[in-house]
Amino acid sequence: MTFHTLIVDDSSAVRAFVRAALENADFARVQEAETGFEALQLLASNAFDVVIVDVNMPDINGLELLAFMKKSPRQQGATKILISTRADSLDAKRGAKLGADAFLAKPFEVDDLRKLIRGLADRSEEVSG
Amino acid sequence: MSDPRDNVQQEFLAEAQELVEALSRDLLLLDEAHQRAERPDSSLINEIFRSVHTLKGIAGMFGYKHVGTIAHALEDLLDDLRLGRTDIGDPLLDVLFDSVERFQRLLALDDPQAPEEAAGVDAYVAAVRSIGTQPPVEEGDPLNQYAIGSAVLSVLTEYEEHRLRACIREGMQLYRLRATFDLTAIDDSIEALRDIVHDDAEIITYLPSLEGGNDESIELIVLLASRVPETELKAHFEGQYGTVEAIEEQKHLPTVPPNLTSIPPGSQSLMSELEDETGQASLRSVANSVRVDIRKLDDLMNVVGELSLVRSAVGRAVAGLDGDPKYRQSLQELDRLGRGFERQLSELRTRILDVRMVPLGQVFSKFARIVRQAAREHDKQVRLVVTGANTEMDKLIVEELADPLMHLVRNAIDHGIESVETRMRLAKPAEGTLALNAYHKGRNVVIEVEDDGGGMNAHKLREKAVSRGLLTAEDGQDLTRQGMLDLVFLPGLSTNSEVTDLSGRGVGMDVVKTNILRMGGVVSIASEQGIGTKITVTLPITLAIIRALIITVGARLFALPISAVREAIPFAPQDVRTIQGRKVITMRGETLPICDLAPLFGLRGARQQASRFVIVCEMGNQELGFVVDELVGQEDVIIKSLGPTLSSVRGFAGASDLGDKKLALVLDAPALFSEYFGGGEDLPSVEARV
Amino acid sequence: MTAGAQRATLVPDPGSDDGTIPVVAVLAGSETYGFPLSAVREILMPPPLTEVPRSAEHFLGVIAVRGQIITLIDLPTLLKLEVLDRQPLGRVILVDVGDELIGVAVDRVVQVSQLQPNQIEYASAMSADLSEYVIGVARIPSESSSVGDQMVILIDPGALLGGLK
Repeated sequence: MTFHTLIVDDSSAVRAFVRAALENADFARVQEAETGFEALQLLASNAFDVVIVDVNMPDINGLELLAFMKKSPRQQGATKILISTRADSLDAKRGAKLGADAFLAKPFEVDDLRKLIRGLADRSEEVSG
Repeated sequence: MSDPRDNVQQEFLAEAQELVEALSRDLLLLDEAHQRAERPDSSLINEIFRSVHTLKGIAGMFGYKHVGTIAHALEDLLDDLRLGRTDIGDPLLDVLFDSVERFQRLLALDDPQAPEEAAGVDAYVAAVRSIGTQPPVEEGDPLNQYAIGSAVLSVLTEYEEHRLRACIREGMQLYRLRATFDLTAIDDSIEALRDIVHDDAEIITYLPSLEGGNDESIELIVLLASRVPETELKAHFEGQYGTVEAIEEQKHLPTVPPNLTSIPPGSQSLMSELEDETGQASLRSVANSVRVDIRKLDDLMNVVGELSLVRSAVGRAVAGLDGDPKYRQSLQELDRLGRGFERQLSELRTRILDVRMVPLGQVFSKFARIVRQAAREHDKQVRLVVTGANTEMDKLIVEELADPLMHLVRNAIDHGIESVETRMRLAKPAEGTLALNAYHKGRNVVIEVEDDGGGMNAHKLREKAVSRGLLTAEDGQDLTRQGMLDLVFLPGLSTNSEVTDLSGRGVGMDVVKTNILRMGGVVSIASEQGIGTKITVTLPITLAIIRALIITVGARLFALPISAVREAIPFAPQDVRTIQGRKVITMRGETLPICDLAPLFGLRGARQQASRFVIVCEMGNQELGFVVDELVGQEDVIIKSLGPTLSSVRGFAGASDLGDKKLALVLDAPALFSEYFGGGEDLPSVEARV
Repeated sequence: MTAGAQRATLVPDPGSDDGTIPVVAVLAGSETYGFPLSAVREILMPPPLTEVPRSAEHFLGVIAVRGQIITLIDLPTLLKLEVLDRQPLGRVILVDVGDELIGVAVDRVVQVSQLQPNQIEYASAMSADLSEYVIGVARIPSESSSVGDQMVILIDPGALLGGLK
């Protein structure tokens, strides 16, 4: 299955990396958002399978996006992954409370990301199937 | 499966470079504020934190281990700084400034994991971590005073929480601004909102709400803190944006300590009063720009060139139909259209060239840091004044200029500006001034590096040149004062032990001059002992398109860039004399050496010697007349490289398409000058090899 | 290139099923030369030529192709072969030599041959006096029965870039 994925991160290098990592071999179809605002625009008109969000963004931060998605009927089913550089931070803990399905610490490897997504997808299938 | 990182490496390097440059600029602003004993702007510190934080993230992902290690240490330090756990001080600033060079060096390495760098990196990290932090003074959490609600608190990041507390402590009132934004135009709307809020309030965060929105619009709750009374805020925003409601307090606020004032961002000026207003903009102009590969611009220019040729061909085809009266009206129409097309092409060409133009401020902004460092190293006080930072030049030239200009700047500080005691003894202000000026002059850009230091001793220069064997004593006697000053450009005059530079390369004034000449420019020096020194660099605005004099030699077309040409006079072969083996003519009482291009290029010159011309050229303070057959005219030409294989042929800067598939070789005046004046063995025998 | 240096070898076209190497055979002066098809970008009618003074003899000059300036070379002169009866310039072959495109002046294009690797005789260390631009020679059966087999001198495009100074 091809995961329709949204990557929200203000670093163009990270977005390019995630796109390159996931679009190989039709693993995923990736859309990018540079800011929380752009993400809101895309979330309004698309249903994503996976949403990868950087917690530390100016203006609308990743936590706020997670909270928004939790309440949005269209995005509730999506797998939500939060990226940050500090695994034990307050921000990460808050992310967990807001319904993030997984947490990925920067720097991460291509394989880690793919395994994580596949793992979560399998789990969600088990639950619903 | 291929490693996705390979393709994306370029993306990483470009972004990393931008982050380091932004870091450098922001550090200077921070330093400035600190020097003026002003409280630092929290959003500036946050920007610096973000740059380092992002750099750390991407460095790790792309295998730049050392960059990541340093960024990690800095991130911790900056986090402490922005959360109020430590204060700005000189040691902290020094360590931050140091990081910029380290980052640039590490990013330029071939092996990003180079093990030999590890020791240096570890030492630096230790220095960073030694900057002390102290836990904040416990005062009771101000957040408890407000009915903010756990829903909001749970989505704030640690930093946003800190800002919230800080604003409360400063006595600001908290508000919720509820507004609905059209999703398609949300960026502009937020921008507009930020502009209005800018002076009155600090935006803590934007909370997207699910109420009141639909597929095309969204409601945001903007949490802000402001000193402005509620009525005023309401007047500002309501109606235009939505509703403003104050967040209720539950208790009285602590009073504002008198020395805590926050500086509105963006109001500092980096340079002194003489700076253009727009100077500030050029330093922070990243937001609206797009990274462009210059080769793409060259390709675009090629296409324009080809369109131009098509246009000419159409013109010729149309001319062929001229006879028939039946088509006269259509032909007139075609003619008119053709001219319109020509105008548009010309416009397109100009605009593409314009894209290559970047402001000199790009290069100048790096120098502020170097000046600060060099001044500290030598225990001198130097003030840097920049004018004309937004003077624009071709990007390639600007990049090449960085090194020579840096050398001139360092020279001025190392050798030019005196120590504080010396200056005070001489009744000069303790702080020396180093001025960087740039302005357009005709088709050139002039850049001046001027200091109010000790100036140069012309006679000493002459003595040194003679004692180094670069000049005979007799020739030395003949020199004018300016001639003596110009000796500074001779290779071998400044030894390595005298020349200081950042990267261990031996760089002297002669290299600066050669580099400038290579770019088609000239450099000159003026100096008064006790008063100061001024180095003037004149360069063409763009190497891409140059006005050139089209000439023929031996029935072939050549182009000579106008920047070198002073005038053209008829050639009177009977006036040629030979002095010390060189042919010269007399022009207005002065002797002008001449170089006949026909025999130099092994071409047969025009039969009628009488109808030839001498193009008088000037490079620095040397003059040379090139003897050519015909003057065809002046044109704007695009110089294209001859390619790696032919570029070793002396005397040509490239070739230019004059249309109609006629190619003219473009003469490299500086190279021809060097060839003529440089070494006798390069001269062909002056008797024509016909 | 020193005498014992490795010369390039021709690699079969990855797309071909039978492991043959397509080669463009051209006539220049009195010899037939071959270029691997993979390196040949274009074959042009000769555009106007601009000579470059003081360049080495094997440079005929420069030409303009779609706005690009391309150096034109003469193979017989480059390989120091004598030509008794020079024909006017018939065609220009644009060859990709790695860093740039180089134009080669030819009288005419003879054919495109599919060479079997065993038809190619690589220059060995013994024939060190053979020019560094030459990979080897090949024998191409001629298309007409009246003319015998042709000896084709195979040129290494990569060597053209390095050695032309």
